[in-house]
Amino acid sequence: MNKIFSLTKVLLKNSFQKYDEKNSKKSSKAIRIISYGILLIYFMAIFGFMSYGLITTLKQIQQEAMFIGIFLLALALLTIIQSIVGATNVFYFSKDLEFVLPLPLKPREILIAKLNVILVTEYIMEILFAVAPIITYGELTSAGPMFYIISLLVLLIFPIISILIATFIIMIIMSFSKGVKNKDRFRLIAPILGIIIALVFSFAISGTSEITDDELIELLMQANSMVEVVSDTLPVIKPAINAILNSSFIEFLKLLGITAVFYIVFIIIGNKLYFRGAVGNLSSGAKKGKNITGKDIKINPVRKIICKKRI
Amino acid sequence: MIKLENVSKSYVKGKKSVDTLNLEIKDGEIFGFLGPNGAGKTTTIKMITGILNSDEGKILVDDKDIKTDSISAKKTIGFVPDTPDIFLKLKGIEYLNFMGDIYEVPKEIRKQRIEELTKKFEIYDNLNEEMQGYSHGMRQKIILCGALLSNPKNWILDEPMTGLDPKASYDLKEMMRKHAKEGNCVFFSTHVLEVAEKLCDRVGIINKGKLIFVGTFDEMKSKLKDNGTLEELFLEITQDE
Repeated sequence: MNKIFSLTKVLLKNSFQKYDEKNSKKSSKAIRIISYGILLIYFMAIFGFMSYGLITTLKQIQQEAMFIGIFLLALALLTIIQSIVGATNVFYFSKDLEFVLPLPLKPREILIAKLNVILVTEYIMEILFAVAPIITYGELTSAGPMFYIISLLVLLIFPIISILIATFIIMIIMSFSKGVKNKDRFRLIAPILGIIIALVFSFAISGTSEITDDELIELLMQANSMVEVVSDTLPVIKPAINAILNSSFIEFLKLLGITAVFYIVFIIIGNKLYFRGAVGNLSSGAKKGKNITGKDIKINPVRKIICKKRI
Repeated sequence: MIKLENVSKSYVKGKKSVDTLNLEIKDGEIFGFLGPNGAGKTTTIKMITGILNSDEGKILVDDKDIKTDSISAKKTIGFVPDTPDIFLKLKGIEYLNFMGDIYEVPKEIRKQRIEELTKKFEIYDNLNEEMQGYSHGMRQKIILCGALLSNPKNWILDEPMTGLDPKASYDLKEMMRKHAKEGNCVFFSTHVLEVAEKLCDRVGIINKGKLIFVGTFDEMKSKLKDNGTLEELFLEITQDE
C-alpha cells in the first residue's frame, strides 16, 4: 500500500507543474493562484446557473429528481472521454515505464498507481463541473446534510468505473499497436479512436430513445429515458441516483460494491493486457528499417521539413 | 550472482538482437560488458533487470528467476540506466525518498545512506532542487545514489561513467571495487576500454547479439596474434565476426 502511495505521488508530481517552482517569482505564483481561483469560480458559476435553469424547469412539472440522473449521465460520459485522453498519456505516453519496471513493484501496484493518477485528475474535473450542480440541487430542494454527505461519497466513487471503461478501451486499442507499422502515429490516433468508440457507444444507446422533439422538457424526458437505457450498460448510474436522491447509505454501499467488483476484474485483465502491450511498445524504437536508396537522399525546403516534423 | 542461460531476444522476426547468450557473473566479481553500438548490451541489461522479457532462456539473479520470482530478484538489484532523465520534476530528495520507499529502506538507515552517498558525489547541497535543473552529470549522480541507497547486492550499471566528472568517476570506480571485494557482484557496460581493463576482473564482448569473448584482459591479449593496443584488440575481435 505504501509503495502504491509513493508511486502515485511521484507519478502525479511528475505529470503536474507545481506551484512552488524554484524559478518562479512569488508575485507570479500569487497571480497564477488567483487566476486559477477566478477560473474555478467562473466555471462553477456557469454550471451552477445551468443547473438552476434545468432544475427550475423540471420543478414546474414536479420532475426535479430527473436532474440527478441527467447530471450523473453527463458526468459519466465526460469522465469516459476525458479519461481516454488521460489513460493514453498516463499509461502509454509518459515514458516512465522503463524506469518503473526494474523496481521491485508488482505489476498490479504499477497499474493501481497509474489509475490513481487519472482518478486525481478526474476529481479536479469534478470540482469544476460537479460541485456547483449538486449544491444548486440541494439548495433548490431544501435537502438535509445527509444529502451532501452521500453526494460527496458518490462523487468520490462514481468516476472510477468510467475511468476503468476508458482505460480498458485504450488498452484494447493499444494491444493492436504491436502489429502496426508506424507505432508512434498509431499511438497518436488511439485516443481519438477511443473517443469515437465512446461516442458511438453513447449514440447507439441514445438512438434507441428516438429523440424527435426540440422542446426542453421533451428533451429532458428523452434524456431521462437515456439514463434508463444507460443504467443497464453502466451499472453504477442507478445506485448513484438512488443514493443521492434518497440520501441512502445502503444504495451507496451497492455503488461501492459494484465498483469494487469492476475494479478487481479490471486489475486481473489489465495486468495482462497492459504489460503485454506496454512492454512490447518499449522496444518500438529498436525496429530495423529498410536500407536507404538514392531516392531517400533529397533536398527539401525548410518550411516543409518543419511542417513534417510538427505533424 | 547473475546467470544467463541460452537467452535470446528478437525485436524483428528472424533477426535476433541477443542470440543464445550464456554468461555467469560470480559474487565478488566486477564484470565489464563491451561491444559496439547496437551490439545488444542494453537489450541484455534490460532483460536482466526485467524491463524486457527474453524470448528464450533463463535469467537468474541470486538464484531467483527474473520472470517467475521478479520481486525477490529485483530487490537485490541496483540499476542505473543509460539515460538519467528520470522524474525530472521531482526534487533530488523526493526522488531518493521514493527509492527508499520502494526498496523499503528504514528511516534511520535511509538518512545515513542519503547523507553518505550524496556527500560523496557532491550533490548534498542540491537535494532540495528539482532534477530538471540538474546537469547531465548531476542527474547521473542522483540516479546512482538512488540505485545504491538500499545497498543492493548486485549492481547493474549501463554506461555509468557517462557525464561524470573525474572525481565522481574515480569515486564510483572505488565504490565498485569495494562492493565486489565485500563479496557482491558488479555488472556494467562501457565503451571506455581503459576503464574496463583497469577495473574489471573479467570482460565479455558482444557483437551482433552474440557473445564472442568472455575472459580476462590477459586472456584476450594472449588469444590474439599481435601485441596491439586495447582499441586494436577490440577492433580485431569485433571485426572478425
